[in-house]
Amino acid sequence: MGLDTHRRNVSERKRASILEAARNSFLENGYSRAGMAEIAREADVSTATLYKHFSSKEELFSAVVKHAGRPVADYSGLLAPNDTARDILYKLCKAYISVQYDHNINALMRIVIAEVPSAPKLAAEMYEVIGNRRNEGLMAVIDAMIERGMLRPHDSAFGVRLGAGMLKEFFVWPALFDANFQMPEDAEDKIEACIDAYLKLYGPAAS
Amino acid sequence: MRGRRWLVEGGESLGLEDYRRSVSETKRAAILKAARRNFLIGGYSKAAMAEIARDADVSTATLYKHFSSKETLFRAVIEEAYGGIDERPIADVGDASAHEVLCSICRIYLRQQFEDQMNGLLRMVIGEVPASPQLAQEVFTRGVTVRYRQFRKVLDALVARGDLVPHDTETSVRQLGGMVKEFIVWPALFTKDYRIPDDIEQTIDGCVGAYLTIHGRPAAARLAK
Repeated sequence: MGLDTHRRNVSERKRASILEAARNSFLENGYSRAGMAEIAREADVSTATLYKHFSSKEELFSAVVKHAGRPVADYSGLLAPNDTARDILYKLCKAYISVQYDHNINALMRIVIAEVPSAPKLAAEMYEVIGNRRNEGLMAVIDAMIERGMLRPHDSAFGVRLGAGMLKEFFVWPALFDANFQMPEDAEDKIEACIDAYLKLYGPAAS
Repeated sequence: MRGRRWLVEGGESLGLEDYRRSVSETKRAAILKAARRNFLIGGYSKAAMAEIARDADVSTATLYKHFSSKETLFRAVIEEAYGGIDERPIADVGDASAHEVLCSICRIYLRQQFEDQMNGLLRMVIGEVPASPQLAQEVFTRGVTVRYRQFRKVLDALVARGDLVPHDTETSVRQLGGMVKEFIVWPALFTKDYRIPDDIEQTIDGCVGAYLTIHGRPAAARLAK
């Protein structure tokens, strides 16, 4: 392995462990109480290394959000050739919800929302990632479905927001108020109600 | 009314009990206002009863006579922001069309959300989830859930009138709420000094139109009625 590659690997590993330590610290302490020195200690790097990767706590937090939101934007893998419209919409919903629960997005959202008065830029950035960019990812799938004739032509930008709004109402909104919020028992019914709604709005016309 | 009559501002005379009640109500209102301000500035945990009393220009004894604890006070602030928590339906259906009725409940919802700095209060509550989990839970059950019940009664009235097909309105009220939130409340929670967009009426119209497509009686059935 060349020296450069080795260095890059070490650097990437350090970056990953910083991100993990930072996420844990933010989740535990909230934004304002999390300290860079402690994060460095937890990640087993020097503060100099930490600052080489992330020049400020704000930058670090925004990297944590982006990292957690990575699976957010690309839904293109969900378009299997033999799926019905309902199958694809179901997979979209599941993917959307799983990011919220499995990648601490609900908890990170709480932190960011609480910090809006003191750190408005942070919140704006997070909204960009988990709101706007995610919606664009959803739109790409909806547009592809329209193209395949699986959905009636419609304004997918608007449709996606209706759909995302309904999902968030059941799966995200209550979690803002409850750190231990679990996936509701009737989750499947709720997902189904959202899919029914979307198909009623934009599904292929019944013959 | 028995007892001495008191002359108050404007020369109107009130019975003693009325006078006392009105003073007490004025003080209560001042306390709620001061409390809201303090909660919004410092968050729940940092807000202090003594300072709220000072701000409201009442003694701490008076403050505690009205609200026995900071929790009680906070609850009252939230209830006030939600326009009083009772179980009445939020609007009369009257002879208005389903579309009009639904638009008007969306407007009521948004008014509650944006007046009295509800978004700020919610942010604060959300920030306190780790430290005071019960507070947030209570806001959710006493505010959010009760409000949905009020709105749901309107939907049930529309079902009874035949404008909507019979369906599970407990779920559908949240569908409508979720659609409206997506456009107006979520961005407001994430944005400092958020302003309601100018095309708000169009957005409401779009959400209500979608809701009616999903749950409204098909046009043919409506004509046949």
